[in-house]
Amino acid sequence: MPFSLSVSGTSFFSPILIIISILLMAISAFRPSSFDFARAQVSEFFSPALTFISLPFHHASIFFHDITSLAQLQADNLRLTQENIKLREWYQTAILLDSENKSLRDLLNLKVDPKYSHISARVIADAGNTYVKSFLVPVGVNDGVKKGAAVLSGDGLVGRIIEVSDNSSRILLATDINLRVPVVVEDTGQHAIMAGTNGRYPRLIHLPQGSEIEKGSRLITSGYGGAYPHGLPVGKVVINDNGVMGVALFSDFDKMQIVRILQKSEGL
Amino acid sequence: MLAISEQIDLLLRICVPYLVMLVLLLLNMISFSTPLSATIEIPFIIIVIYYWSVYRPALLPPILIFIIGISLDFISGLPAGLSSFIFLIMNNIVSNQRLFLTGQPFMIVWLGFIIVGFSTLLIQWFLFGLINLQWTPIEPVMLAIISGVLLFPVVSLILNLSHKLLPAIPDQYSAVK
Repeated sequence: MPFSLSVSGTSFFSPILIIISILLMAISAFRPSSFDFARAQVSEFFSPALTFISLPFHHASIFFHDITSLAQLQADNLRLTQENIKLREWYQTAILLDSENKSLRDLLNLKVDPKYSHISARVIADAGNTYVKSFLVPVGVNDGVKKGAAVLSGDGLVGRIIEVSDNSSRILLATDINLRVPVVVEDTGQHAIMAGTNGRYPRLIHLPQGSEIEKGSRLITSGYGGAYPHGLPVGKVVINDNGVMGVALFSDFDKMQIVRILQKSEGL
Repeated sequence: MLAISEQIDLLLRICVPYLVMLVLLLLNMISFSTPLSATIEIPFIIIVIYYWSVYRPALLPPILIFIIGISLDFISGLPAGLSSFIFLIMNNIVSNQRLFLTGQPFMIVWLGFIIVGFSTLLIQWFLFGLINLQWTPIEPVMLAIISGVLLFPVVSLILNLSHKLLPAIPDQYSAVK
């Protein structure tokens, strides 16, 4: 019989495989980076199939979102037209300020922050789960992506690259429990750390005693530690019923399609 | 000795449950956005392992369960070995209870899944917290359990259809329910 599918129950291999699994878990606990290469290769292997299978769900989600927001479109259009007029005025002001900044920097001989360029990539799969919040993108080492690079959407910070293979990378999202981002309150200059909770709102931790941060204050990356450049928009401060400070991120992960991976420009 | 055409036919029939399994594994690897904007990870693969452990354990040998678990761990960013460990334990427990479960009406099999699925995901949550040295919120785990329990009849139906394509085996407990 070429294909035996008789009932055999669990084989004697089962206990051996269970022991191997326990050993792998122990290695993961003590040296989490041991499997980085294998993870990257498996992600790369599965990424075309994941792209294919997640596409209809992704489009359905966007379609549903668009349908439900149709009623708001007209009001948004009116608001945006008015905003656009205001922004044109601001644009002129920004050009003047930029030119003034440049001349002042020249006068002070100030060393400016390194310039950043970016690689845009389509989110191919929301590979996150109950425990790890992550995205897969079809760009990797071959496209110049480096491990640790900051990732942005059009609205603000998304997370950072934690795994890179030749043609795919994994982004750990700002909401993940293992991600910490040094942030600063834009108005007051107060520093804090934004810590993911695996929930919708990351928490603000390591706040100085007696710090008074107002609800709705804008947060940007502080640049401390060098993992993220200074000044990336992150989110707004929210305070829950228990008085715990959280962050409502500017980026909306539910309908994210394109992300930008920052990288330091060569020669700077 | 089977003729070549029969062998090809048999091979194609056996491929179907594995293809269904692969699609469900891939669906397990992605999260779904709901209208309420919460993402849910539906534990399709737990349903698959439970179903085949009850009705046709030989289709899902431990080595395959190990590979499925490890792949899921690597692709989802979970600690290596976590999913393979809980899947193998679950397979062992369910396989030992299959003599009882195969003769039961669907409601009892479903109830069995509720107990097994709940325990499996809760152990996974506990081990993840232990390895990571911090506890993650329990609500998404509960959401995953509820979604798995609710989708169990639908996924079982699909698996049942692929089961019917398999050749019958001389075993009183392997009959398709």
